[in-house]
Amino acid sequence: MIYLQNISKVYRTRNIETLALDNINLEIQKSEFLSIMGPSGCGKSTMLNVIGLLDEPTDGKLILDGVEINGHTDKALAALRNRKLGFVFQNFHLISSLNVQDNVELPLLYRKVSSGERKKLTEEVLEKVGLSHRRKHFPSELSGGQCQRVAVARALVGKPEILLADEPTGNLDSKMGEDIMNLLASLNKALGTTIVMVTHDRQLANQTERIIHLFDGRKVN
Amino acid sequence: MKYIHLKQIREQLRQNRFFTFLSLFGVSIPVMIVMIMIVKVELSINPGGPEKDNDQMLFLSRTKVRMEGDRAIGYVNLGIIEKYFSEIAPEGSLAFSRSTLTPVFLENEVLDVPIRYTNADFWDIFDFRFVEGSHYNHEKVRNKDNVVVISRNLRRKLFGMQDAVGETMELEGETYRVIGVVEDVTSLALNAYSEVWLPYTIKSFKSLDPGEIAKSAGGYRVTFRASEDWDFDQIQSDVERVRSRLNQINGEQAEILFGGPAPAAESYFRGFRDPETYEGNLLNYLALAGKALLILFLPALNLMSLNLTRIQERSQEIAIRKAFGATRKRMAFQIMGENAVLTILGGLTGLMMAYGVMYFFKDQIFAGFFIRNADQATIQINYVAFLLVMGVSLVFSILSGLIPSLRISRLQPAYVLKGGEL
Repeated sequence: MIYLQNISKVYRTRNIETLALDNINLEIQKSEFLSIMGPSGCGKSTMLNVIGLLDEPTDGKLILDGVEINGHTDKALAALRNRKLGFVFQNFHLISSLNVQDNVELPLLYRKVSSGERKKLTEEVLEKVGLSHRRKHFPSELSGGQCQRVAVARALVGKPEILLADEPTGNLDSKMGEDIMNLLASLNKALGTTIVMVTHDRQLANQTERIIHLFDGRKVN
Repeated sequence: MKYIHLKQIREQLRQNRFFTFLSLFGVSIPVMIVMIMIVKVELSINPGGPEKDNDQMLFLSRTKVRMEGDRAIGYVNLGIIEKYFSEIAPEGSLAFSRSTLTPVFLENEVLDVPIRYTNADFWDIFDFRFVEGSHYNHEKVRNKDNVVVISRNLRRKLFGMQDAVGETMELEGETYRVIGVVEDVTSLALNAYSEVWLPYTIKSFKSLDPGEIAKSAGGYRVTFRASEDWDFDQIQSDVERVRSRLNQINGEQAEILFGGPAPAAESYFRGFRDPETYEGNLLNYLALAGKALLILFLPALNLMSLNLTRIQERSQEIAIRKAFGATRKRMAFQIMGENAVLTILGGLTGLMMAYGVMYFFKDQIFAGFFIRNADQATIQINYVAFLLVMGVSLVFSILSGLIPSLRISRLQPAYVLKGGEL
């Protein structure tokens, strides 16, 4: 499903060069639930961003669902992100000026889906995360756990094959974190969605099928 | 633009009230100023009232006489009108008049009232609405009868609510009989406006010999009315022939020039300028358009800087949208679309403000500096001009969104989502 071959990422400023990812090789199977662990600054989020086409690798090859990502136009990358990928961020990253329903249907705006269909799909996914009664609320009116559930609904509404979650429970208390984790696990099982999760939390990582450890930009055993 | 985009724009505007206010203010004020400018020019070119059919008229109100080491600029002298223009103009095609201010004594106050000395055909050429009585005819003008036509406004001041025809009034120590009352006239109608109209023969300054006539400016505005047999070209060539005859009389001594006869628009642009330095209508229209463009452009610069600040604030939102499939182009269009909506709202606000300001400050905006009476002017917004102004504003606003949009196109979502700045 996802292949990373000799992926490196270097951040350059005028005076400093930082090696964020160093020759990473990784293969992730379809429907796998995998977590990436490591200390702060080890390159976990960078790796997730590279897989999510939010950042370009400096070197190496990335293959997503059989498509080698190389020299794609902005439009092609946007289409891939829209069709194949869903994101859940630590800080939720909901759009404050949109209500829950409008936030959730965001990915559908960037494809040809009628408004009726958008509404139906949004309803379905909100039902799944247990927030259909909150669809007219704005993010500022929700708790952290509810915001993250909205973010998960948004990531899933377009039925992506791959869900990328960057510390999805990092800003939640343990009860809410557990809820989100259960939600992700059930989605993985029910829909066969491939999930790549970045986490600091060993307990959460243990609930996934495989753990990848990163240290100073390198994959370690 | 989808409904959800409009919904979001509404939310954006609601949540960022200060930005919304600044943007709307920035767009509406220039649109208001430009619309008032346009209405003012249009009203000056066709003020309506007695001059409403001025597309059939040519106006001549400037004479310049060049002599060795000297020059004179003024209106047209009566000698030229009576001796030459009367000769070339068919019956009922020539109106001329001279206006001045004179004190009128009321019970408790003295009013400076505009009075206008006219010929008899003046009443046929300009379309006055009589509320009482009638105007003076050729015979009364010839006989120098002390008769006047007054405005409804002056009738109210002098005679209250009563009829005025048959009553008398004092002007400059003489007694005049009121023979007609007309609806008030806007002072924008430069060739017809007054409060009192009376035969020009009562006080004509016509003691010039032919040699003097040919090299003198005077105090009269002249209006020629075109007809099938006497069209604009014919009128202009006839007046030019008169000028040649006058210059033959002048010989080497002097040269006489006329600022016209010109149609209403040219006559407005010529104004009180030297007839020799008039640069043509096109240049005047271009100058007006230039002013309007400048007025509309400066706020666009302001909007651009506001946009840049706002984009900074919204960089996270833009990064999120990109993460979920928005393209650079799409985001650029969204920003420009938001600008367009703001501009349309601002433009409509500007239009309403223009109406309001013109309604409450009609005199200050439209009437002359000394004589203020624009009450009768009918303010009509030219909606074609408004659409044009909106079009220009939209282009500017889209351009003002261009630089912020270009910055968006460089946005790396990962960098911004990690908390980096645009």
